[in-house]
Amino acid sequence: MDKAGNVLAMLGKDCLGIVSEYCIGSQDQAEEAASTSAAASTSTGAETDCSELNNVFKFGERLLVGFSGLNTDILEVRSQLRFRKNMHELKENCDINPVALTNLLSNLLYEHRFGPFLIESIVAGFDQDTMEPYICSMDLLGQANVAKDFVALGKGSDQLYGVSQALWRPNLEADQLFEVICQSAVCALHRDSLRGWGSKVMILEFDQLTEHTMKGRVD
Amino acid sequence: MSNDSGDKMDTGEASSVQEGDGGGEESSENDDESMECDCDCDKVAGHSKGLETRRGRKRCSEVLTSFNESGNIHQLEYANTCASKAEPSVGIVAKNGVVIVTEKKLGSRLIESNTVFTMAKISESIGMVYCGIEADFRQVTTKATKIATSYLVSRDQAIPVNVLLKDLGDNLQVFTQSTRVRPFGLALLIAGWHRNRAHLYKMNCVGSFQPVRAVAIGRNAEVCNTYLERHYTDAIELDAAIILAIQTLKLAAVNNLICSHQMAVGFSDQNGFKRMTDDEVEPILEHLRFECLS
Repeated sequence: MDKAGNVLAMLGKDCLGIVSEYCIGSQDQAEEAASTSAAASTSTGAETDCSELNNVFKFGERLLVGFSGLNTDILEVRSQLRFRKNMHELKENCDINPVALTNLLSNLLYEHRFGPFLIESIVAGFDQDTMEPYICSMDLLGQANVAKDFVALGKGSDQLYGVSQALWRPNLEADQLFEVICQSAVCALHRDSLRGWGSKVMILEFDQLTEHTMKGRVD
Repeated sequence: MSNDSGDKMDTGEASSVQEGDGGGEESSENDDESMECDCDCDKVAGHSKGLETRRGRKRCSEVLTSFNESGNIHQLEYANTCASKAEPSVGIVAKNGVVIVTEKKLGSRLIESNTVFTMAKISESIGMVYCGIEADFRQVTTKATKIATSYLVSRDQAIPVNVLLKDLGDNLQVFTQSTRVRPFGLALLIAGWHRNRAHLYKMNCVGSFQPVRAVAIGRNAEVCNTYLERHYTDAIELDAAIILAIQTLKLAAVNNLICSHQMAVGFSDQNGFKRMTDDEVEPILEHLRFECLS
């Protein structure tokens, strides 16, 4: 799990926020993040798109799924979950809601009970019918933990939980939530050579998704 | 339906067609008229030309559900006929719920009516009634319950009615495209409540289903459907719908007489699917009889 980026999700009033730290593994990716631009080639010729460093993926208009852990497992689980979610939506002819996606992911992870994917996951989104925000974290076997305030994953999750407990309060508006979540992510950085490259913050409200990039120390 | 045209072909014409064919294509009506089949099957059943035996007699194959030259599958029509001659069922969608009623076939007074299985609860808010063969209904109920429960286990949510019916329809369709099996002799009415809305579907033995707002199936269905068309409105409430459904069932009953232990009434609303007991149905019947008398 050495390449585990941190992911923190918080609930506000009719909004939710996710911050995912850029997860760096190789020299090429590090140079790429340092240049902070979209697809560009490095001196060794490898091309990486900045968006590949992101660990939070959109699974629908109002659904975000974030992962932390082994990169290859993240890619695999992401594509398997996407398949199951698409099949579900085709059968039902309507967008999947967060509870169903949580259960799909949980069952998918538990199917590999004795050879698990080494990842932790967050499902965050809005229920279409009730218009309420929803966040839930999951461990590597699919044990789901639905939260009313915040969830954190990754190596720095202890620090994240600690700082969030201090800073979070209920009924945060979208801009207040943005501040709180950024502060928590910055304060709770687990400092080693793989951290500090920056993070991506997404604030999801029922009708819009705002993305911000937080610059890190990049050293 | 054009299925009768083949049967009326005269024997001479049929045999001349067969001699020319040499047993290549399948043509069930020709077989019926002039062929004597070696096996014990009913000649009218949709068996097709099989292999020629040495004496020139044809043996039927085991495919029951094959097409004839008019493009029909006899077995499916016969199955639908079986369902349409059976005890009637009525379903009505109301603004705040959906009701399904069915008549129970009780051979004599000595049968315990509350153990006769005519109405099935498939999931928390989905119920099903049938017209046709009760043993087939039990099989289909098992299939439907499995589908609904496995959906609940894997997604922790109640199954939407149309998703259930797609899977159930696929299961029923298998029996129309396999050898050595017959289709189910059933017509089904499935009522459910999903997403703050009542749903009612009608499904036939082939596995195809349609959403409906008010429908009657089984014996005397035309009379009942005409009655429903006249009396059904979109703004009907659940209590009025239950009364209308029982009245419609009464129309289809033998001698227009029916009592509370001869029918099963169930409704699905936001609290789920519930089957009404005889004690709950009795006051409604009394109320209706009172109206009829005056």
